[in-house]
Amino acid sequence: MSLLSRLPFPREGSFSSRLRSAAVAARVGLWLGICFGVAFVTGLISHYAQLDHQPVPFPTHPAWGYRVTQGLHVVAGTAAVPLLLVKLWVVYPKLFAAPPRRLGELVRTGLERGSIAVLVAASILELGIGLMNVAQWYAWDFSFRRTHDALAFVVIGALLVHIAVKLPLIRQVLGGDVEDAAADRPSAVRPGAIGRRGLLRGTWVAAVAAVVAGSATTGTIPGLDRLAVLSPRSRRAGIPVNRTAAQAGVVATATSASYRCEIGYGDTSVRLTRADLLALPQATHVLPIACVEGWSANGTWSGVPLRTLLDHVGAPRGRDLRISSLQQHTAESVTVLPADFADDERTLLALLLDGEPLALDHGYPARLIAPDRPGSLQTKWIARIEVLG
Amino acid sequence: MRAARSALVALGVLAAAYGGWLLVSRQHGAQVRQVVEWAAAGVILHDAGLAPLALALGWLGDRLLPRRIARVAALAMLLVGTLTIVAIPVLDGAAAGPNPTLLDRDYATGWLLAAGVPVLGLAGGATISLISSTARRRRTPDGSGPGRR
Repeated sequence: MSLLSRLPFPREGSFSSRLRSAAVAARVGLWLGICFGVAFVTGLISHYAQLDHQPVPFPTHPAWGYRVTQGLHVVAGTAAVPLLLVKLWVVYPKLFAAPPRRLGELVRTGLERGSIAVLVAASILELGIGLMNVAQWYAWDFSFRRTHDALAFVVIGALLVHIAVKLPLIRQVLGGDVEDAAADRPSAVRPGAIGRRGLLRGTWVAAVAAVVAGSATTGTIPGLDRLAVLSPRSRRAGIPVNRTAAQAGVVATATSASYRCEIGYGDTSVRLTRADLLALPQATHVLPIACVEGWSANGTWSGVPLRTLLDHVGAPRGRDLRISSLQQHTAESVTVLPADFADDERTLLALLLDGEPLALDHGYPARLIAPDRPGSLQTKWIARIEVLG
Repeated sequence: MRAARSALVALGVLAAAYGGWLLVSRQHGAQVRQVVEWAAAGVILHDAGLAPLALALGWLGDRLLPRRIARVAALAMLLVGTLTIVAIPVLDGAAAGPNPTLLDRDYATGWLLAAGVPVLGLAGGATISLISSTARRRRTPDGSGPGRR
Protein backbone atom coordinates (compact mmCIF):
# COMPACT_ATOMS: atom_id res chain seq x y z
CA MET A 1 0.00 0.00 0.00
CA SER A 2 2.75 2.43 0.91
CA LEU A 3 4.62 1.58 -2.29
CA LEU A 4 1.43 1.99 -4.31
CA SER A 5 0.78 5.42 -2.88
CA ARG A 6 4.31 6.60 -3.70
CA LEU A 7 4.01 5.62 -7.38
CA PRO A 8 2.42 8.15 -9.75
CA PHE A 9 -0.47 5.71 -10.14
CA PRO A 10 -3.92 7.33 -10.15
CA ARG A 11 -6.47 6.56 -7.45
CA GLU A 12 -10.21 6.99 -7.65
CA GLY A 13 -9.85 10.29 -5.84
CA SER A 14 -7.37 11.63 -8.41
CA PHE A 15 -10.18 12.21 -10.88
CA SER A 16 -11.70 15.59 -10.23
CA SER A 17 -13.98 16.37 -13.20
CA ARG A 18 -17.62 16.66 -12.17
CA LEU A 19 -18.60 15.23 -15.55
CA ARG A 20 -17.59 11.82 -14.22
CA SER A 21 -20.81 11.41 -12.28
CA ALA A 22 -23.36 8.64 -11.80
CA ALA A 23 -25.98 11.12 -13.06
CA VAL A 24 -24.18 11.23 -16.42
CA ALA A 25 -23.27 7.53 -16.47
CA ALA A 26 -26.88 6.46 -15.92
CA ARG A 27 -28.18 8.67 -18.73
CA VAL A 28 -25.61 7.45 -21.26
CA GLY A 29 -26.04 3.92 -19.90
CA LEU A 30 -29.79 4.05 -20.45
CA TRP A 31 -29.33 4.69 -24.17
CA LEU A 32 -26.47 2.23 -24.40
CA GLY A 33 -28.74 -0.37 -22.80
CA ILE A 34 -31.49 0.45 -25.29
CA CYS A 35 -29.03 0.04 -28.20
CA PHE A 36 -27.75 -3.26 -26.81
CA GLY A 37 -31.33 -4.45 -26.29
CA VAL A 38 -32.33 -3.58 -29.88
CA ALA A 39 -29.17 -5.20 -31.26
CA PHE A 40 -29.76 -8.31 -29.13
CA VAL A 41 -33.38 -8.83 -30.17
CA THR A 42 -32.77 -8.09 -33.86
CA GLY A 43 -29.67 -10.31 -33.72
CA LEU A 44 -31.73 -13.19 -32.35
CA ILE A 45 -34.27 -12.64 -35.15
CA SER A 46 -31.48 -12.75 -37.73
CA HIS A 47 -29.96 -15.85 -36.16
CA TYR A 48 -33.32 -17.59 -36.14
CA ALA A 49 -34.00 -16.63 -39.77
CA GLN A 50 -30.78 -18.42 -40.74
CA LEU A 51 -31.59 -21.70 -38.99
CA ASP A 52 -32.11 -24.66 -41.33
CA HIS A 53 -34.90 -26.07 -39.19
CA GLN A 54 -37.25 -23.60 -37.55
CA PRO A 55 -39.81 -24.93 -35.07
CA VAL A 56 -42.01 -21.92 -35.87
CA PRO A 57 -41.56 -20.93 -39.53
CA PHE A 58 -39.96 -17.50 -40.08
CA PRO A 59 -42.69 -15.34 -41.67
CA THR A 60 -42.59 -14.32 -45.36
CA HIS A 61 -44.61 -11.16 -44.56
CA PRO A 62 -43.86 -8.32 -44.64
CA ALA A 63 -41.25 -8.61 -47.42
CA TRP A 64 -39.32 -5.72 -45.81
CA GLY A 65 -39.31 -7.25 -42.31
CA TYR A 66 -35.74 -8.53 -42.33
CA ARG A 67 -34.36 -5.41 -43.98
CA VAL A 68 -35.80 -3.34 -41.12
CA THR A 69 -34.71 -5.63 -38.27
CA GLN A 70 -31.21 -6.13 -39.64
CA GLY A 71 -30.86 -2.46 -40.58
CA LEU A 72 -31.80 -1.61 -36.98
CA HIS A 73 -29.28 -4.16 -35.72
CA VAL A 74 -26.38 -2.44 -37.46
CA VAL A 75 -27.69 1.06 -36.64
CA ALA A 76 -27.99 0.20 -32.92
CA GLY A 77 -24.53 -1.39 -32.89
CA THR A 78 -22.94 1.62 -34.61
CA ALA A 79 -24.69 4.11 -32.31
CA ALA A 80 -23.45 2.10 -29.33
CA VAL A 81 -19.79 2.85 -30.17
CA PRO A 82 -19.70 6.47 -28.91
CA LEU A 83 -22.18 5.63 -26.13
CA LEU A 84 -19.87 2.90 -24.84
CA LEU A 85 -16.80 5.12 -25.12
CA VAL A 86 -18.41 7.98 -23.20
CA LYS A 87 -19.86 5.59 -20.60
CA LEU A 88 -16.40 4.11 -20.01
CA TRP A 89 -14.86 7.59 -19.85
CA VAL A 90 -17.35 8.65 -17.19
CA VAL A 91 -16.80 5.61 -14.96
CA TYR A 92 -13.04 5.27 -15.61
CA PRO A 93 -12.10 6.34 -12.01
CA LYS A 94 -13.86 3.22 -10.71
CA LEU A 95 -11.07 1.18 -12.28
CA PHE A 96 -8.75 2.63 -9.63
CA ALA A 97 -11.08 2.26 -6.64
CA ALA A 98 -9.29 0.75 -3.63
CA PRO A 99 -10.53 -2.74 -2.71
CA PRO A 100 -12.49 -2.95 0.58
CA ARG A 101 -10.65 -4.38 3.61
CA ARG A 102 -13.40 -6.59 5.05
CA LEU A 103 -13.54 -10.10 3.57
CA GLY A 104 -17.30 -10.19 2.98
CA GLU A 105 -17.22 -6.81 1.22
CA LEU A 106 -14.16 -7.87 -0.72
CA VAL A 107 -15.90 -10.95 -2.11
CA ARG A 108 -18.99 -8.97 -3.08
CA THR A 109 -16.98 -6.17 -4.69
CA GLY A 110 -14.79 -8.74 -6.43
CA LEU A 111 -17.83 -10.47 -7.92
CA GLU A 112 -19.34 -7.18 -9.04
CA ARG A 113 -16.12 -5.93 -10.58
CA GLY A 114 -15.64 -9.32 -12.24
CA SER A 115 -19.07 -9.03 -13.85
CA ILE A 116 -18.19 -5.53 -15.06
CA ALA A 117 -14.89 -6.79 -16.50
CA VAL A 118 -16.83 -9.43 -18.44
CA LEU A 119 -19.38 -6.82 -19.56
CA VAL A 120 -16.72 -4.37 -20.76
CA ALA A 121 -14.54 -6.97 -22.48
CA ALA A 122 -17.46 -8.65 -24.24
CA SER A 123 -19.02 -5.30 -25.25
CA ILE A 124 -15.82 -3.92 -26.77
CA LEU A 125 -15.19 -7.16 -28.67
CA GLU A 126 -18.81 -7.52 -29.79
CA LEU A 127 -18.93 -3.99 -31.24
CA GLY A 128 -15.41 -4.27 -32.65
CA ILE A 129 -15.92 -7.48 -34.60
CA GLY A 130 -19.37 -6.28 -35.66
CA LEU A 131 -17.87 -3.14 -37.23
CA MET A 132 -15.07 -5.16 -38.85
CA ASN A 133 -17.46 -7.78 -40.19
CA VAL A 134 -19.53 -5.17 -42.01
CA ALA A 135 -16.37 -4.14 -43.87
CA GLN A 136 -15.56 -7.86 -44.39
CA TRP A 137 -12.25 -7.39 -42.54
CA TYR A 138 -11.68 -10.89 -41.22
CA ALA A 139 -8.49 -10.60 -39.22
CA TRP A 140 -9.30 -13.65 -37.08
CA ASP A 141 -9.64 -17.43 -37.30
CA PHE A 142 -12.76 -17.83 -35.17
CA SER A 143 -16.26 -18.01 -36.65
CA PHE A 144 -17.76 -14.52 -36.70
CA ARG A 145 -21.35 -15.70 -36.56
CA ARG A 146 -20.87 -18.13 -33.66
CA THR A 147 -18.70 -15.73 -31.69
CA HIS A 148 -21.02 -12.73 -32.25
CA ASP A 149 -24.00 -14.87 -31.20
CA ALA A 150 -22.31 -16.27 -28.07
CA LEU A 151 -20.92 -12.87 -26.98
CA ALA A 152 -24.39 -11.34 -27.34
CA PHE A 153 -25.67 -13.56 -24.52
CA VAL A 154 -22.58 -12.80 -22.42
CA VAL A 155 -23.09 -9.03 -22.92
CA ILE A 156 -26.82 -9.09 -22.19
CA GLY A 157 -26.36 -11.40 -19.19
CA ALA A 158 -23.58 -9.27 -17.67
CA LEU A 159 -25.64 -6.14 -18.43
CA LEU A 160 -28.65 -7.52 -16.53
CA VAL A 161 -26.41 -8.26 -13.52
CA HIS A 162 -24.93 -4.74 -13.73
CA ILE A 163 -28.40 -3.14 -13.90
CA ALA A 164 -29.62 -5.24 -10.97
CA VAL A 165 -26.63 -4.27 -8.82
CA LYS A 166 -26.93 -0.56 -9.68
CA LEU A 167 -30.73 -0.34 -9.74
CA PRO A 168 -31.18 1.79 -6.56
CA LEU A 169 -28.48 4.22 -7.75
CA ILE A 170 -29.92 4.30 -11.30
CA ARG A 171 -33.38 5.11 -9.94
CA GLN A 172 -31.98 7.78 -7.65
CA VAL A 173 -29.95 9.63 -10.29
CA LEU A 174 -32.44 9.26 -13.15
CA GLY A 175 -35.15 10.58 -10.85
CA GLY A 176 -33.13 13.71 -10.10
CA ASP A 177 -31.57 16.46 -12.19
CA VAL A 178 -28.45 15.70 -14.21
CA GLU A 179 -26.60 18.47 -12.32
CA ASP A 180 -27.49 16.89 -8.96
CA ALA A 181 -24.27 16.07 -7.08
CA ALA A 182 -25.83 13.86 -4.37
CA ALA A 183 -24.46 10.61 -5.81
CA ASP A 184 -21.08 12.00 -6.93
CA ARG A 185 -17.69 10.90 -5.67
CA PRO A 186 -16.34 13.46 -3.16
CA SER A 187 -13.50 14.45 -5.50
CA ALA A 188 -15.73 15.04 -8.56
CA VAL A 189 -16.13 18.78 -8.06
CA ARG A 190 -14.07 20.51 -10.75
CA PRO A 191 -16.19 22.03 -13.53
CA GLY A 192 -14.79 21.09 -16.94
CA ALA A 193 -14.82 22.93 -20.25
CA ILE A 194 -18.27 21.56 -21.00
CA GLY A 195 -21.15 20.98 -18.62
CA ARG A 196 -22.98 17.70 -18.08
CA ARG A 197 -25.76 18.68 -20.45
CA GLY A 198 -23.17 19.66 -23.05
CA LEU A 199 -21.45 16.29 -22.74
CA LEU A 200 -24.77 14.45 -23.10
CA ARG A 201 -25.78 16.51 -26.16
CA GLY A 202 -22.36 15.94 -27.70
CA THR A 203 -22.72 12.20 -27.08
CA TRP A 204 -26.13 12.03 -28.78
CA VAL A 205 -24.76 14.00 -31.73
CA ALA A 206 -21.76 11.64 -31.96
CA ALA A 207 -24.08 8.61 -31.95
CA VAL A 208 -26.21 10.03 -34.76
CA ALA A 209 -23.11 11.09 -36.70
CA ALA A 210 -21.61 7.61 -36.39
CA VAL A 211 -24.82 6.04 -37.71
CA VAL A 212 -25.35 8.48 -40.59
CA ALA A 213 -21.72 8.71 -41.70
CA GLY A 214 -20.53 5.25 -40.91
CA SER A 215 -23.17 2.54 -41.00
CA ALA A 216 -23.70 0.13 -43.88
CA THR A 217 -27.44 0.67 -43.42
CA THR A 218 -27.39 4.37 -44.29
CA GLY A 219 -24.96 3.69 -47.14
CA THR A 220 -27.75 2.14 -49.21
CA ILE A 221 -30.67 4.39 -48.17
CA PRO A 222 -31.38 6.80 -51.06
CA GLY A 223 -30.68 10.37 -49.90
CA LEU A 224 -28.79 9.40 -46.76
CA ASP A 225 -26.24 7.48 -48.85
CA ARG A 226 -24.65 10.82 -49.87
CA LEU A 227 -23.93 11.61 -46.22
CA ALA A 228 -22.71 8.09 -45.46
CA VAL A 229 -19.13 8.91 -46.42
CA LEU A 230 -17.66 6.20 -44.18
CA SER A 231 -20.17 3.44 -45.03
CA PRO A 232 -18.57 0.30 -46.47
CA ARG A 233 -21.41 0.18 -48.97
CA SER A 234 -22.96 2.42 -51.62
CA ARG A 235 -25.23 1.87 -54.60
CA ARG A 236 -22.80 3.31 -57.14
CA ALA A 237 -22.29 -0.07 -58.81
CA GLY A 238 -25.99 -0.97 -58.48
CA ILE A 239 -27.32 -3.45 -55.93
CA PRO A 240 -24.35 -4.53 -53.77
CA VAL A 241 -23.16 -8.13 -53.61
CA ASN A 242 -21.49 -9.93 -50.75
CA ARG A 243 -19.44 -12.40 -52.78
CA THR A 244 -18.64 -12.02 -56.44
CA ALA A 245 -18.75 -14.91 -58.96
CA ALA A 246 -14.95 -14.84 -59.11
CA GLN A 247 -14.66 -14.97 -55.29
CA ALA A 248 -17.12 -17.88 -55.22
CA GLY A 249 -15.17 -19.67 -57.96
CA VAL A 250 -18.20 -20.18 -60.19
CA VAL A 251 -17.34 -18.15 -63.32
CA ALA A 252 -16.60 -21.24 -65.44
CA THR A 253 -19.51 -23.38 -64.28
CA ALA A 254 -22.03 -20.52 -64.33
CA THR A 255 -21.20 -19.55 -67.93
CA SER A 256 -20.80 -23.12 -69.22
CA ALA A 257 -23.08 -24.25 -72.08
CA SER A 258 -23.68 -27.46 -70.12
CA TYR A 259 -25.37 -25.55 -67.23
CA ARG A 260 -28.63 -27.14 -66.12
CA CYS A 261 -30.86 -26.32 -63.17
CA GLU A 262 -32.03 -29.60 -61.68
CA ILE A 263 -35.32 -29.92 -59.82
CA GLY A 264 -35.83 -33.18 -57.97
CA TYR A 265 -38.81 -34.65 -56.13
CA GLY A 266 -38.52 -38.29 -55.12
CA ASP A 267 -37.75 -40.23 -58.30
CA THR A 268 -38.83 -37.37 -60.56
CA SER A 269 -36.09 -35.07 -61.75
CA VAL A 270 -35.96 -32.47 -64.48
CA ARG A 271 -32.91 -30.64 -65.80
CA LEU A 272 -33.57 -27.25 -67.36
CA THR A 273 -31.33 -24.88 -69.31
CA ARG A 274 -31.66 -21.14 -68.78
CA ALA A 275 -33.58 -21.01 -72.10
CA ASP A 276 -35.97 -23.68 -70.78
CA LEU A 277 -36.50 -21.61 -67.64
CA LEU A 278 -37.14 -18.46 -69.70
CA ALA A 279 -39.77 -20.37 -71.72
CA LEU A 280 -41.81 -21.16 -68.57
CA PRO A 281 -44.49 -18.70 -67.27
CA GLN A 282 -42.69 -15.67 -65.76
CA ALA A 283 -43.56 -13.31 -62.93
CA THR A 284 -42.06 -10.02 -61.75
CA HIS A 285 -41.87 -8.80 -58.14
CA VAL A 286 -40.18 -5.88 -56.44
CA LEU A 287 -38.35 -7.41 -53.49
CA PRO A 288 -35.53 -6.17 -51.27
CA ILE A 289 -32.24 -7.95 -50.94
CA ALA A 290 -31.33 -7.36 -47.31
CA CYS A 291 -27.93 -8.39 -46.06
CA VAL A 292 -26.98 -9.53 -42.59
CA GLU A 293 -24.42 -6.69 -42.75
CA GLY A 294 -27.25 -4.16 -42.57
CA TRP A 295 -27.43 -2.82 -46.13
CA SER A 296 -30.46 -3.46 -48.31
CA ALA A 297 -31.73 -2.52 -51.75
CA ASN A 298 -34.91 -3.04 -53.71
CA GLY A 299 -34.71 -4.85 -57.03
CA THR A 300 -37.28 -5.68 -59.71
CA TRP A 301 -36.80 -9.40 -60.11
CA SER A 302 -38.30 -11.48 -62.95
CA GLY A 303 -38.24 -15.22 -63.31
CA VAL A 304 -40.18 -18.41 -62.77
CA PRO A 305 -42.29 -18.59 -59.59
CA LEU A 306 -40.72 -21.36 -57.55
CA ARG A 307 -44.15 -22.89 -57.00
CA THR A 308 -44.56 -23.26 -60.79
CA LEU A 309 -41.34 -25.31 -60.91
CA LEU A 310 -42.45 -27.44 -57.97
CA ASP A 311 -45.80 -28.12 -59.70
CA HIS A 312 -43.74 -29.09 -62.77
CA VAL A 313 -42.32 -32.08 -60.84
CA GLY A 314 -45.58 -32.77 -59.00
CA ALA A 315 -44.32 -31.73 -55.56
CA PRO A 316 -47.05 -31.10 -52.95
CA ARG A 317 -47.22 -27.87 -50.92
CA GLY A 318 -45.80 -27.67 -47.43
CA ARG A 319 -42.41 -29.21 -48.17
CA ASP A 320 -39.00 -27.74 -47.30
CA LEU A 321 -36.49 -27.52 -50.14
CA ARG A 322 -32.77 -28.14 -50.22
CA ILE A 323 -31.14 -25.54 -52.47
CA SER A 324 -27.65 -26.20 -53.81
CA SER A 325 -25.44 -23.59 -55.44
CA LEU A 326 -22.65 -23.99 -57.97
CA GLN A 327 -20.36 -22.53 -55.30
CA GLN A 328 -18.68 -25.08 -53.10
CA HIS A 329 -17.40 -25.19 -49.54
CA THR A 330 -19.15 -22.13 -48.15
CA ALA A 331 -21.99 -21.79 -45.66
CA GLU A 332 -24.26 -20.81 -48.57
CA SER A 333 -23.45 -23.79 -50.87
CA VAL A 334 -26.32 -25.89 -49.57
CA THR A 335 -29.20 -24.37 -47.60
CA VAL A 336 -32.74 -25.31 -46.64
CA LEU A 337 -35.63 -23.14 -47.84
CA PRO A 338 -38.55 -23.55 -45.41
CA ALA A 339 -41.90 -24.60 -46.90
CA ASP A 340 -43.65 -21.27 -46.32
CA PHE A 341 -41.00 -19.53 -48.46
CA ALA A 342 -41.12 -22.28 -51.11
CA ASP A 343 -44.91 -21.91 -51.41
CA ASP A 344 -45.06 -18.09 -51.31
CA GLU A 345 -46.19 -16.83 -54.72
CA ARG A 346 -43.56 -14.05 -54.64
CA THR A 347 -40.64 -16.47 -54.32
CA LEU A 348 -38.87 -16.63 -57.67
CA LEU A 349 -36.14 -18.50 -59.43
CA ALA A 350 -34.97 -15.12 -60.73
CA LEU A 351 -33.50 -14.78 -64.22
CA LEU A 352 -33.65 -10.99 -64.69
CA LEU A 353 -32.87 -8.04 -62.44
CA ASP A 354 -34.37 -4.63 -63.33
CA GLY A 355 -35.25 -5.95 -66.81
CA GLU A 356 -31.71 -7.10 -67.64
CA PRO A 357 -30.36 -10.65 -67.57
CA LEU A 358 -28.85 -11.33 -64.14
CA ALA A 359 -25.22 -10.27 -63.90
CA LEU A 360 -22.79 -13.05 -63.00
CA ASP A 361 -22.19 -11.44 -59.60
CA HIS A 362 -25.96 -11.40 -58.95
CA GLY A 363 -26.27 -15.14 -59.56
CA TYR A 364 -26.49 -15.76 -63.34
CA PRO A 365 -27.85 -18.08 -64.73
CA ALA A 366 -30.52 -18.33 -61.98
CA ARG A 367 -30.86 -17.32 -58.34
CA LEU A 368 -33.38 -17.52 -55.56
CA ILE A 369 -35.21 -14.40 -54.41
CA ALA A 370 -37.77 -14.72 -51.62
CA PRO A 371 -39.55 -12.11 -49.47
CA ASP A 372 -38.28 -11.37 -45.92
CA ARG A 373 -35.23 -13.61 -46.13
CA PRO A 374 -31.60 -12.88 -45.13
CA GLY A 375 -29.53 -12.01 -48.21
CA SER A 376 -26.95 -14.74 -47.63
CA LEU A 377 -29.74 -17.31 -48.01
CA GLN A 378 -30.99 -15.87 -51.31
CA THR A 379 -28.91 -18.53 -53.06
CA LYS A 380 -27.06 -17.44 -56.20
CA TRP A 381 -25.93 -19.66 -59.13
CA ILE A 382 -28.52 -22.34 -58.33
CA ALA A 383 -27.52 -25.86 -59.38
CA ARG A 384 -30.17 -28.03 -57.76
CA ILE A 385 -33.49 -27.74 -55.96
CA GLU A 386 -34.55 -30.84 -54.06
CA VAL A 387 -37.94 -31.33 -52.42
CA LEU A 388 -37.43 -32.77 -48.93
CA GLY A 389 -39.66 -35.48 -47.45
CA MET B 1 -37.48 -4.51 -5.26
CA ARG B 2 -35.01 -6.86 -3.60
CA ALA B 3 -36.71 -9.91 -5.14
CA ALA B 4 -36.78 -8.27 -8.58
CA ARG B 5 -33.09 -7.47 -8.31
CA SER B 6 -32.22 -11.02 -7.27
CA ALA B 7 -34.28 -12.38 -10.16
CA LEU B 8 -32.50 -10.03 -12.55
CA VAL B 9 -29.09 -11.19 -11.27
CA ALA B 10 -30.12 -14.84 -11.64
CA LEU B 11 -31.41 -14.23 -15.18
CA GLY B 12 -28.24 -12.36 -16.10
CA VAL B 13 -25.95 -15.07 -14.74
CA LEU B 14 -27.95 -17.70 -16.65
CA ALA B 15 -27.80 -15.74 -19.92
CA ALA B 16 -24.07 -15.05 -19.57
CA ALA B 17 -23.38 -18.68 -18.69
CA TYR B 18 -25.37 -19.79 -21.73
CA GLY B 19 -23.30 -17.39 -23.86
CA GLY B 20 -20.10 -18.78 -22.37
CA TRP B 21 -21.24 -22.31 -23.11
CA LEU B 22 -22.13 -21.31 -26.70
CA LEU B 23 -18.68 -19.78 -27.04
CA VAL B 24 -16.68 -22.78 -25.87
CA SER B 25 -18.85 -25.57 -27.29
CA ARG B 26 -19.22 -24.50 -30.94
CA GLN B 27 -15.60 -23.86 -31.92
CA HIS B 28 -12.15 -25.40 -31.65
CA GLY B 29 -9.99 -24.71 -28.61
CA ALA B 30 -7.62 -22.52 -30.62
CA GLN B 31 -10.53 -20.40 -31.86
CA VAL B 32 -11.93 -19.96 -28.35
CA ARG B 33 -8.45 -19.01 -27.13
CA GLN B 34 -8.25 -16.38 -29.85
CA VAL B 35 -11.63 -14.93 -28.83
CA VAL B 36 -10.35 -14.61 -25.24
CA GLU B 37 -7.11 -13.00 -26.47
CA TRP B 38 -9.06 -10.52 -28.60
CA ALA B 39 -11.34 -9.69 -25.67
CA ALA B 40 -8.33 -9.03 -23.43
CA ALA B 41 -6.66 -6.99 -26.18
CA GLY B 42 -9.81 -4.86 -26.53
CA VAL B 43 -9.86 -4.04 -22.83
CA ILE B 44 -6.12 -3.27 -22.74
CA LEU B 45 -6.42 -1.13 -25.88
CA HIS B 46 -9.16 0.90 -24.18
CA ASP B 47 -8.04 0.99 -20.56
CA ALA B 48 -4.32 1.47 -21.19
CA GLY B 49 -4.43 3.23 -24.58
CA LEU B 50 -7.53 5.15 -25.53
CA ALA B 51 -8.63 6.12 -22.00
CA PRO B 52 -5.23 7.55 -20.88
CA LEU B 53 -5.00 9.36 -24.23
CA ALA B 54 -8.43 10.96 -23.69
CA LEU B 55 -7.40 11.74 -20.13
CA ALA B 56 -4.17 13.42 -21.21
CA LEU B 57 -5.89 15.45 -23.94
CA GLY B 58 -8.61 16.53 -21.51
CA TRP B 59 -6.04 17.49 -18.87
CA LEU B 60 -3.98 19.51 -21.37
CA GLY B 61 -7.05 21.13 -22.92
CA ASP B 62 -8.36 22.21 -19.52
CA ARG B 63 -5.08 23.80 -18.51
CA LEU B 64 -3.68 25.20 -21.75
CA LEU B 65 -6.73 26.39 -23.65
CA PRO B 66 -9.03 29.31 -22.82
CA ARG B 67 -12.39 28.00 -21.56
CA ARG B 68 -14.28 28.88 -24.74
CA ILE B 69 -11.78 27.09 -27.00
CA ALA B 70 -11.51 24.13 -24.61
CA ARG B 71 -15.27 23.64 -24.84
CA VAL B 72 -15.13 23.48 -28.62
CA ALA B 73 -12.06 21.23 -28.52
CA ALA B 74 -13.76 18.78 -26.16
CA LEU B 75 -16.83 18.43 -28.39
CA ALA B 76 -14.66 18.19 -31.50
CA MET B 77 -12.59 15.45 -29.88
CA LEU B 78 -15.74 13.50 -29.06
CA LEU B 79 -17.00 13.70 -32.65
CA VAL B 80 -13.68 13.17 -34.40
CA GLY B 81 -12.75 10.32 -32.06
CA THR B 82 -16.05 8.55 -32.69
CA LEU B 83 -15.90 8.96 -36.45
CA THR B 84 -12.27 7.84 -36.54
CA ILE B 85 -12.98 4.64 -34.62
CA VAL B 86 -16.00 3.88 -36.80
CA ALA B 87 -13.81 4.54 -39.88
CA ILE B 88 -10.94 2.22 -38.92
CA PRO B 89 -12.40 -0.86 -40.70
CA VAL B 90 -13.04 1.03 -43.95
CA LEU B 91 -9.79 3.01 -43.85
CA ASP B 92 -7.93 -0.25 -43.36
CA GLY B 93 -9.39 -1.42 -46.65
CA ALA B 94 -8.27 -5.02 -46.08
CA ALA B 95 -11.27 -6.33 -47.99
CA ALA B 96 -11.18 -3.88 -50.91
CA GLY B 97 -10.31 -5.33 -54.27
CA PRO B 98 -12.16 -8.25 -55.79
CA ASN B 99 -15.65 -6.99 -54.90
CA PRO B 100 -16.47 -3.70 -56.68
CA THR B 101 -19.54 -3.11 -54.45
CA LEU B 102 -17.61 -3.32 -51.16
CA LEU B 103 -15.58 -0.40 -49.76
CA ASP B 104 -16.48 1.52 -52.90
CA ARG B 105 -16.01 5.06 -51.61
CA ASP B 106 -13.03 7.37 -51.17
CA TYR B 107 -12.70 6.91 -47.43
CA ALA B 108 -9.70 9.19 -46.83
CA THR B 109 -11.68 12.11 -48.27
CA GLY B 110 -14.79 10.86 -46.48
CA TRP B 111 -12.99 10.90 -43.15
CA LEU B 112 -11.62 14.40 -43.76
CA LEU B 113 -15.15 15.58 -44.58
CA ALA B 114 -16.87 13.78 -41.70
CA ALA B 115 -14.30 14.93 -39.16
CA GLY B 116 -13.60 18.32 -40.74
CA VAL B 117 -17.14 19.63 -41.16
CA PRO B 118 -18.06 19.43 -37.45
CA VAL B 119 -14.67 20.81 -36.41
CA LEU B 120 -15.02 23.75 -38.78
CA GLY B 121 -18.63 24.24 -37.68
CA LEU B 122 -17.68 24.27 -34.01
CA ALA B 123 -14.71 26.55 -34.66
CA GLY B 124 -16.93 28.91 -36.67
CA GLY B 125 -19.54 28.95 -33.92
CA ALA B 126 -16.89 29.67 -31.28
CA THR B 127 -15.44 32.50 -33.36
CA ILE B 128 -18.84 34.11 -33.86
CA SER B 129 -19.67 33.89 -30.15
CA LEU B 130 -16.21 35.27 -29.29
CA ILE B 131 -16.67 38.25 -31.63
CA SER B 132 -20.20 38.98 -30.45
CA SER B 133 -19.26 38.78 -26.77
CA THR B 134 -16.26 41.05 -27.36
CA ALA B 135 -18.58 43.50 -29.10
CA ARG B 136 -21.02 43.27 -26.18
CA ARG B 137 -18.26 43.94 -23.70
CA ARG B 138 -17.14 46.99 -25.66
CA ARG B 139 -20.67 48.41 -25.49
CA THR B 140 -20.84 48.20 -21.70
CA PRO B 141 -18.90 51.14 -20.20
CA ASP B 142 -16.98 49.30 -17.47
CA GLY B 143 -16.27 46.25 -19.65
CA SER B 144 -17.92 43.86 -17.19
CA GLY B 145 -20.99 42.74 -19.09
CA PRO B 146 -23.08 39.82 -18.01
CA GLY B 147 -21.28 37.61 -20.58
CA ARG B 148 -21.12 33.99 -19.56
CA ARG B 149 -17.71 32.42 -19.18
